[in-house]
Amino acid sequence: MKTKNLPIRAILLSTSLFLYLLFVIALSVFSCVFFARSTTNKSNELIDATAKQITYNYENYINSILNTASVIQSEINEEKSFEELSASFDSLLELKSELLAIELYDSEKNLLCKDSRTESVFPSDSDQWFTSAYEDQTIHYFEPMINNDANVYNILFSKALTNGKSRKKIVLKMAIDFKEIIDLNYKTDLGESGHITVIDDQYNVVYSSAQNAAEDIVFLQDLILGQDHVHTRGHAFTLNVDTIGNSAWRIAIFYNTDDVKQAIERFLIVVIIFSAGMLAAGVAAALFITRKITVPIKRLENTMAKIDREMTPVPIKDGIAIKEVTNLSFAYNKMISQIRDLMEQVVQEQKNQRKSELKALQHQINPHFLYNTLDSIVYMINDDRKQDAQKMVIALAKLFRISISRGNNIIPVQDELEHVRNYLIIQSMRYKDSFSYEIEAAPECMQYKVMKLILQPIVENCIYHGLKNKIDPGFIRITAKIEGENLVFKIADNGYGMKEETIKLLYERFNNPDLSDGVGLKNVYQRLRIYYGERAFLHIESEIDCGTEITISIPVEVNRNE
Amino acid sequence: MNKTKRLLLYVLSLSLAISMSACKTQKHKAEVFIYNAQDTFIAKMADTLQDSFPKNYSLKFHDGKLSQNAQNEQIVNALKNGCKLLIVNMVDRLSSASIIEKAKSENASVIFFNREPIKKHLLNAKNAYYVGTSPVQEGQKQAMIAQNLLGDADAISPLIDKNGDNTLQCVFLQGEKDHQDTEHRTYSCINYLTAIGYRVEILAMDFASWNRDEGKALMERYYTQFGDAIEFVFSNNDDMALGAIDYLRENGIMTNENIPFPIVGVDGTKYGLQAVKDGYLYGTIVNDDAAQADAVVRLSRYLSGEIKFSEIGLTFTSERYIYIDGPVVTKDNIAKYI
Repeated sequence: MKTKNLPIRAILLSTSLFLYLLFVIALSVFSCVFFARSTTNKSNELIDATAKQITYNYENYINSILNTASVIQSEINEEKSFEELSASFDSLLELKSELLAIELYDSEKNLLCKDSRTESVFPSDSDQWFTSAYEDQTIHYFEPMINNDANVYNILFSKALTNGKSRKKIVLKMAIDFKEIIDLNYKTDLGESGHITVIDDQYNVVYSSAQNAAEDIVFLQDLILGQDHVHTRGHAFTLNVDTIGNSAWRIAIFYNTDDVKQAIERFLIVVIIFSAGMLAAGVAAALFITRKITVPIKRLENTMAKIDREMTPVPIKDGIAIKEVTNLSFAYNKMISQIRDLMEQVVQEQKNQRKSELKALQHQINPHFLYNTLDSIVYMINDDRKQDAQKMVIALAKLFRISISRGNNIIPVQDELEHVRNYLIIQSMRYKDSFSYEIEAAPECMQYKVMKLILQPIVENCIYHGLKNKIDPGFIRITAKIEGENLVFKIADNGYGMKEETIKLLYERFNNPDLSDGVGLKNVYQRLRIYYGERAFLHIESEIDCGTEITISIPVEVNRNE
Repeated sequence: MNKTKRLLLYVLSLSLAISMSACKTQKHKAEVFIYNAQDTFIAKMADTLQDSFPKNYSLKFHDGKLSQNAQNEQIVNALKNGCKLLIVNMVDRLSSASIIEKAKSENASVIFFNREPIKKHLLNAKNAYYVGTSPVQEGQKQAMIAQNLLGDADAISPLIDKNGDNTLQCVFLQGEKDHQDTEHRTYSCINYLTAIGYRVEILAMDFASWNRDEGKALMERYYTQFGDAIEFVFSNNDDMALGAIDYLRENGIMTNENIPFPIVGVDGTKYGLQAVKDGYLYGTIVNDDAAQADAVVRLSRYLSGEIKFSEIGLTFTSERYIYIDGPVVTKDNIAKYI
């Protein structure tokens, strides 16, 4: 299974940026939608209210016309004569400024009576008003009267009435000035290019407050009734189409919503810019922060990778740092210092070992002893003591042979005992019976092996420090036996002995790494320690003027394995 | 992966099953638009429609409250919500063209009822129908009631002809101005009477907009002006007639023992029928809301695709009109009704 190692910075950056991006986008979208919706709603409410008001004005206007027709119908019912009717028409015209002309026709389209005005207001060529009104008595007929003068807007109104008792149909025809209602609506602000268009049920334009009303027809045919958003004349509009009561006309109100649209667009742009800024800031912040976090980690990583011979510690900076990184650095530094110490320790121990071995090696061939012994031999020969000389030469040869032991460090116990015995032979001959000695070894020891040259230096000590210059004869006793798991050598003498302080001092010296004092005991001790470790020990017991006993104990197991 | 795929499949198929079953039990939508919930007859008609439609139709009702603009808005919204069947009782008859056209643009059908669209507009439409009474018939039936009472045209019953001039002095309580029912009921009645030879003198024929209170006010005006000269009262509907009765009874002109002149109405509303039973209203023509509602339901089922055209079981006039006739109710047959 392969581990995919992603750098910490990439992980941090990608997750935080992703979340941040998500958040910024969500917030932007939400606020845009919310704003657009609430603005549009408010705007729609306003438009609704305006549209209703305008439509209401138109309906009122139409109703006023219908009321006039009712009034005229009542007058007819009262069986007034045509002259009386004509007079009442005149007063109606005076009363209602929007009325321009009133005429009555019979079922043959003959004029029955009219107001007293002389100018003709009506176009001469249309018939529709008569036929439509006559066909269906229940409807009111409206028709725009097209006038070349752009400022004049007149409507033709016709309706069939009944002629009182005769029940015959009469057609009422009126001309009405539309301008009043137009002027009223000019006061309503529909925004730039906002306008009203009135159409009939055939989508003919009855009236429009804008030029090119024909452009609007497309939208009206599409919408028919209700409200919608359209684009025309370079602006955005809310279009409201509704019926005008009591007529087959519809009124279309174009309300400019550019403002709203612009406001929404502007808001959108602001939000986008702001979001982009926020994103950029977020990215920068993320890069900066992740950098702050990952650079120390990277530095630590690099230093750790280059773990070198010098064991350079990781620098710990002052100031604000990342706690975990600092702790890691501390621990790392502690670790390498411990390693350093351990390494030094090892080096030191190896040095020690080498030195002792060197010392031992030195000891193998003691020049002084050699010269003195050779001298003794020469003296013996001169003295014609052939046998003594021979004895000494043989002993010396044996001594040196075992000393070298063909380079082996571990030799049979027997050989070691033999070595010290030969030494004692030589020394006792040289010191002319100033001391005697005894070597006692338990037979079971013989199967074991032991480090060479451990007994002789101790015996040497005994001779030179304990027995030399002693007046009564000295005695050295060497024993070897097995005690439990250990091979125990004892070297006892009856010499001067040592004071307690001296013993203490000797023990202290054993552990002193400084080897400039050539004390044999110390050398033996250290060599034993190096080879056998803590299980070997060297013990000194002494009594002033009584004697000294030195014990060497070596673990048996190690012997066997060698 | 397998486990997730299986779970996804399970969820998908479950939702599909639910939506499919929902489809099966999906109801047909129809929305009803009335011109004014205060109109007794129309209110009753709405209730009857609610009861007549089968369970697999969900109906919504809207009150125009006498405003065509409000009703336009209700219709536009219904179409926006995906309603394909509009049952419309227009406020303003002249808006029929717009309603038909708007419905057509959304592939919806329109069933007009009670208030008749402009003939020209309906005849040109393929997606619109009208269900209602034949006001011409109703007017004629009112005339026939009068005929029964009057008897011989040359020798009108003296019980009616108080002044003995062999001419029927009558007043009309007309419904809404420019309503097709108003015009037709009034004129067909008058025309029928004159056609069969009666001499008719209309003392007054004003409008009371189907309204009981207005009918009462109108009667007061008439009576104040003409008093006992009135020999017959024709009302375009029961509500106005009841208003007239209210006035006459409150002023002691009409009592249980003395009915000054016969009054006839149209509709056969609960109150109207009660008045016939009590003797105050001489007669009425039942405006059979149940039969009309039934016709609307049949048409709806055809338009929803539930039944074929041949299975509708209605008589069409000019392919677009369905006229439902109602019977005359007088004291003679009132027991059948209440």
